[in-house]
Amino acid sequence: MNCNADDRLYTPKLARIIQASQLTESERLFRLRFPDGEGLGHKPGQFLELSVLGVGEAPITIASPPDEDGCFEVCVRKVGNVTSALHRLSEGDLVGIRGPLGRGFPLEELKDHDLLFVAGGIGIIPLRPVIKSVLARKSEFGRVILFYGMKHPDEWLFRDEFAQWEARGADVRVTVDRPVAGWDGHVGVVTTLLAEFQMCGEMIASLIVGPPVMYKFVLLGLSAKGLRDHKTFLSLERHMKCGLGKCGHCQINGVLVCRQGPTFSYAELKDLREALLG
Amino acid sequence: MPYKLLKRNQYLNWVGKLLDKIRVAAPVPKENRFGYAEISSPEELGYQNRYIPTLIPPKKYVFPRTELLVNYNLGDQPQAEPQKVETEPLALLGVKPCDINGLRQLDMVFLEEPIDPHYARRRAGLTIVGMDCWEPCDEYCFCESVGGLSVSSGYDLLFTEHEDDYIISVGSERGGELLAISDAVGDVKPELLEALREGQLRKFQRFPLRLSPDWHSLPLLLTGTYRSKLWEELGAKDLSCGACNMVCPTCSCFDVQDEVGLGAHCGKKLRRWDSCMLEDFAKVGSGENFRKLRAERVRHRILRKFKYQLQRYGESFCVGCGRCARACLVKIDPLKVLNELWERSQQDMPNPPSA
Repeated sequence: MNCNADDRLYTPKLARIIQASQLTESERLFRLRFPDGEGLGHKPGQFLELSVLGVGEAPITIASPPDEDGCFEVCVRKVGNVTSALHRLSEGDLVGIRGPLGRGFPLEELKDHDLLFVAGGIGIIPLRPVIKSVLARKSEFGRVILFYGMKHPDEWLFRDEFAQWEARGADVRVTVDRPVAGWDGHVGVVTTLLAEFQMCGEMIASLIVGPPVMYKFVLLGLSAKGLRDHKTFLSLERHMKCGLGKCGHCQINGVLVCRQGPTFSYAELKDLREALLG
Repeated sequence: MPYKLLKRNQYLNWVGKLLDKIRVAAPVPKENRFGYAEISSPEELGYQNRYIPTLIPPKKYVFPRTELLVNYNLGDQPQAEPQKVETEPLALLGVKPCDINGLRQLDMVFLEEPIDPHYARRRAGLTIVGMDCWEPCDEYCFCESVGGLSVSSGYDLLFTEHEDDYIISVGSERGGELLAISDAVGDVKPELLEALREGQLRKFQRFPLRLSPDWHSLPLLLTGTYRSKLWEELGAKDLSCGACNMVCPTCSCFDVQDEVGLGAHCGKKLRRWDSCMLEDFAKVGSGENFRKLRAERVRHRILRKFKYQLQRYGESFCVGCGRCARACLVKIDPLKVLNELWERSQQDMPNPPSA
């Protein structure tokens, strides 16, 4: 019987919080580093299991691009036990990390493509490492377009980075769902930004991340513009409890999100009836 | 595969010798049924080679209901270390073909990359001694219908009754060594082996196929009936109690939880059997529940056994032991569910065009 198993498979490696910043009322950004200096070695779109020792573990998307001097970031909304406990931690505190886990976005296959990013709310978090990686080597890609929708301007994540992304050549449009006093930008759900968007040719790929209901309408909006299933990528949120393809919690029909995802092409998802709402 | 022979009246004697070498667990009488428990003398053996599958399947020896995964310290110097699995080798006796298949299928899940270290260590210490079935257990078992009536792998030893003898199929070197501890074990004459094979062929007549469609075609049936009204009807009956998961030899889902010691100086991570029938199973942190309805959860369980895992690993992940149907308070029986889906799909078929 094979016993060449990694005994530390379920054991988190401790990482130190080197910076914690409150981005919005409910989201906090944590910059982490392993005390031994080893990097995380992840790809944009992958996730990790984050433990607050004494409380529990939760799957969290990685918010930073690879190779930032051994540091990596997570941006976490306070919603449950683990994330609330994490919000109470500050610089110097230790958290447990398992990962990186899952499959990232296939960035290398998207070279020379125009890239359309559509993010809704905290959907910007898994896309941020892709956007930053792409803009760092912008000459290898075509146009970079980002449509970002949120309910209220106060929920705008990484607001100060948007200007940098524009300066690096990204075409950025931001919208809020409903009119708000003091907001003079675009108003309407993120699909309203698609109206003026023209999609043509084979060399365009879309990366879409947002709440379940957004996927349906963005996919509908893009399909009218000739969206190509195998060049449309999404990241799905499920409860990846073990992250190793064993515990069964994140299963969508026959697919284990933690191993086969969390990023998928639409071609892989469209026949999975539990994947997208409706 | 080599075969050996042991007189049936020598069996308890061999078990006695086995007990000198290794821990032994076997089905023993429990609450009008049978349950696997460790024995210390051959006389405790409760089964007479025919027993209705145990309440809880033998998977508990490789995938315990609760397993300690990680220990950690809190405080000034936090540290997290894996819990070492230290387990004495154990031989399971009297394992039915359905349970041999169940254990083999758990191997597929837990020993697939990345190998589950806790499962792997327990499994490495386990010797499986099977006991072949000659008769169906009761009205709930349907192993024959899912390809599980005869086993050819997944055991170290497999005993088959043949008149006054046991003919023993030796499935591993370890099995062979454990058999060799008794002088009463001998070789099998070819004509006896031939008689056994003929008997086994006749045995299939005593296990009529009770599943209307062929099990290989179940993924197709379950794809076509995904929106069947039957799921809602079952959802209306279902109690979401999860008993079916608890007794299933191939259910492998688990939850991971943290527990903190008194004084909050240390803590541990544990995994516990979980149930896809429970309401929160597919719920995420933000509150979204991806399988909110009972109907969706009943369907997921059936599809996982007969479609998803079947497509992933090539065999039905229901071994037909009947435990879930026996345990179900509202008598949801996978055999009946599949047959009903089949019936309805036949009725829904459009008539062929008339000539």
